[in-house]
Amino acid sequence: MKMKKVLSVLLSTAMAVSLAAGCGNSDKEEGSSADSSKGAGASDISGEVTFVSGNDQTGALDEMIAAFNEEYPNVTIDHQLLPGNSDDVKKSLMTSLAAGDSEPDVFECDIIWVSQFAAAGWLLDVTDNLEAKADEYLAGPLSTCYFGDKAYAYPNYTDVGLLYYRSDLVDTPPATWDELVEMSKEHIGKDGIDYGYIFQMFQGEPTSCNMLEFIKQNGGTDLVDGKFAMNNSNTIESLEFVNSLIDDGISPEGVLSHKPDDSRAIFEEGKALFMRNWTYAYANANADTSKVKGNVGVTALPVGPSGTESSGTLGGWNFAINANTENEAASVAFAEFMSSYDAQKISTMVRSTFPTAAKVYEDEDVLTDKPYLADVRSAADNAKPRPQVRDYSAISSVFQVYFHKALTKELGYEDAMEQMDTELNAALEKMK
Amino acid sequence: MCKMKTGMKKMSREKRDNIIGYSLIAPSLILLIAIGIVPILITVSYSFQYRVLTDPLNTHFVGFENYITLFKSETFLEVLRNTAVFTVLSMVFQLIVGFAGALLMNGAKRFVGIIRTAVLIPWAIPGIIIAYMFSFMFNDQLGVMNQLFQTANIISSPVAWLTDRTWAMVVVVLADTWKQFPYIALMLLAGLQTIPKELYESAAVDGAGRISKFFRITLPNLKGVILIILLFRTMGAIRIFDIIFGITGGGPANSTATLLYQAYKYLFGDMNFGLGSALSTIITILILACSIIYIKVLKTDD
Amino acid sequence: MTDKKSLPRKILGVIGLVVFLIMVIFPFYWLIITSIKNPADVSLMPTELWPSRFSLEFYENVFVNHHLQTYLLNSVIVALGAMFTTIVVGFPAAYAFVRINFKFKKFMQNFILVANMFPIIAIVTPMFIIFRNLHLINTRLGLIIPSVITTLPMAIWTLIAFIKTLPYDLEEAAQIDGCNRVQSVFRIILPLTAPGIFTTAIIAFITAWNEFMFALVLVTKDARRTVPVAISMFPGQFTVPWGDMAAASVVATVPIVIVVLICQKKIVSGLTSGAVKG
Repeated sequence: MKMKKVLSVLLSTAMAVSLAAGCGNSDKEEGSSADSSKGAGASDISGEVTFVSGNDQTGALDEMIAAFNEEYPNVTIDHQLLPGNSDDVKKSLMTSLAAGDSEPDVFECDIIWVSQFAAAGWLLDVTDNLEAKADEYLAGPLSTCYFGDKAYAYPNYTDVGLLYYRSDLVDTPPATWDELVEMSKEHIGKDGIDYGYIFQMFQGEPTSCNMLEFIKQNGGTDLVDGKFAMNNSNTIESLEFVNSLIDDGISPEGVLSHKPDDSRAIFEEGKALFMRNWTYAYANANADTSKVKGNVGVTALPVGPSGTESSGTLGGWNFAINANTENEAASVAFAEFMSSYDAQKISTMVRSTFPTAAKVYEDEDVLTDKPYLADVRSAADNAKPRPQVRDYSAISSVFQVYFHKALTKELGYEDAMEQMDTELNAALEKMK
Repeated sequence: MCKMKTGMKKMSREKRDNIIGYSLIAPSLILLIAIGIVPILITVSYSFQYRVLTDPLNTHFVGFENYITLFKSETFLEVLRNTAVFTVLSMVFQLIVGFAGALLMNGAKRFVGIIRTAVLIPWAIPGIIIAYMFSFMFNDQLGVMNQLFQTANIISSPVAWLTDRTWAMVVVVLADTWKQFPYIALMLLAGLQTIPKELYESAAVDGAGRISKFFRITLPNLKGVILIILLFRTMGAIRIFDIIFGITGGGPANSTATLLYQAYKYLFGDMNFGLGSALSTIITILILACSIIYIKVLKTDD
Repeated sequence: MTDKKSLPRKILGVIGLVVFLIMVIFPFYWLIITSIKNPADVSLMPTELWPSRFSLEFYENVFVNHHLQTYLLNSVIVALGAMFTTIVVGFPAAYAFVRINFKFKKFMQNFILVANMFPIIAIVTPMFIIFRNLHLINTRLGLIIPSVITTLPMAIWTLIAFIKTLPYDLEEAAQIDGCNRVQSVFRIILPLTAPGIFTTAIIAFITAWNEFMFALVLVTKDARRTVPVAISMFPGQFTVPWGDMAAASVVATVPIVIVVLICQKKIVSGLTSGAVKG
């Protein structure tokens, strides 16, 4: 990362020139190089940009777009919503991108898609533009914009697995698995608490995210030096721990079918002491429909016996630009603005997302309105990305199946992990 | 009253019938070939290619490689087994519930309209909505089923239906049963109504009870209908998609992923059109085999 | 089976009937109840079998936040389009199969039967690529065309069964009267088959309304989605709005259930004739 920063400083001066000489049609370059001197070229950029986002009922994105239009009055943004979960959105986007459509120009892109989309040649290379501002962003989220040593997206908002706890029942949240178990046992059966710890192991992305977290909390790893070697005591200890949570009644049997919203519903009913969930759960748990409103604490996830540091899976979204866009200048300007401090502040305030621009964490308005951001920033900083390979979804489907086979005891832990390693490495081989 | 005469009279009747017949079925035929046969043939051709949407420049012919990959993979055996289990289970459930429905409709003298509507409701609801209904009802924490069973003292603590391999399959089968049984009930009802009343009357004279009447008269007379239902449902079970998509997504541990669901995952999850097409081709062959048997059955039934 | 039953047996029958009806209706009941609950009560544990308070908030949500009206319009257009195409194309075919002797008739009839079974999964991928080149992706026409494959074969078989029940003498009489074949079909057969056509049309409409796979794959723009697909997209990245989904499902199914209620007798005869007597 540091090397990149140094490089970016050197490059940024030469950037405008090299860009202009390097690529694209002549009328497009002005826009992409205009970023460093905003305002000046802003009114020269015009045209229509189609922007596809997930479903946003808070109106935050429209506010951000309005702010963009104040600076770039000649660019029209056609904002289209694409509801559905991550997989649905991905399917819709992929079908357009694979067809070589010029729309959407800019879209919200899950951090785990970047490599795959970039490798397929669907995303516009924004390396030079992004490197100029690299030091404005948190390192983890920034790294998800890269595939190889080129950047293909702008950071949007970040996400991380966090430990939610009942602040009315627990003073100091647990720092280790043992503490978590101990506190759970103490509280189950009292104060309406049925379960100690809830998390999400639905066969799908939840399993990959949650299980990788457990493994890394316990000193385990996933992809190291281009190879998977997960059949080791750290992993197996983690699988044993998850199953012991279920067997001891600390977690409901149903966690193996739970998605984030199932956990959230249980927690908001006041039935669980601890919950692992993404950042979205915080605002929800403090809404009027929640029975634990005002009694929700949040902190980093606990550490396993063989581990040394907390680990939450890194999630979140970026802004990516379609490589086939017909209005590169306006698209780049738009994506860059949406990723800027100003836009991220709106997003944080209105739709309660976790910013990727470091400065937003220090903004006074934000800190007054969202004091918890200061507490969880370190967790966000230390979040661990999922394996950054060309086709993460192929890796993830192997994870899901074998973690589930181990957790449902269809296969022995070691057998499951050994088979998983074999399949993971085979999948990796295919990507070369 | 009609004055116009056709000029076709001179043509032989046979020839004229051929021309009229084919021009009348032509639109249907062309449509079904264009949107049915042609795409299927293209799918078959894809199945012999390396064709991955995220690797668009690398498409090439690979012979039977996709099929070999499939047959070698454990997933294929697994989804084949799941499909078989699903087919058999759903058939048994649906025949039992379907029979109950048919007998009720046949015997009812009052409320016939209400019963008939009740039976038709599930048929009229989109499968995906049924899937979400069932996954909500069988949710281990929020679900109403756990509560009902607990109130009735059937279970003592909430069951995680969709976590357990067996229960997850049962829930998927139940949802499919709820959707499909109207059709089966109606077919059985139509069959029931063709059984001559005299058969029952003479059996009654012989002193046969209800149950023996059912096995001696009803069942044998419905043999043809049941056979057709079995074939219909086999094909239906192979083609099941929205129910699994909405309830389990193939989990837990892939235990409810059927052939077709796996094909969908290859096609639109992994964007691997080659592998997905190979599996789709296998499904088509299975369906075709069932169809041929079905047609044979219909023929002998005539 | 209707001779004098003893009282206990009658009671047993009624109980059986009631249990059966509850089993059939309960999921639908639960859907409606969930949709009119207060948002704070949907995830109550234990849940309320009969809500303590009602609210129409979910209904407001689905129209204001989820734009259900857009999807409803798409669904209606697609289902009507598929229905009309099916009848216009299917009726002549059904007539020909009953009244005219042409070569390979049996084979053609069987082909249409097999077409009813085509696995959509083997059709949808190439269809996607073909439609993309024809710019039919994200259009309503692009959904109407493939929907026909799910409705047409069934419709032809149902119509065959209906036309078979009409006496041929009528047509012959009309032809002797000086009508040509086309005229006799329009004047005699069409009016007489009207109830059959009506039934077939309803069945085709409902089948097209419920179609999922094509609508899922061939539409990538939200504004062109049909109701079933749109509802399946209500869950966001993490959230699953059960109440909204229930309300939208009720809106999407109640009109259909009413149609079924009115036409149940016809639908029953239509559904069974196609499959069994065919």
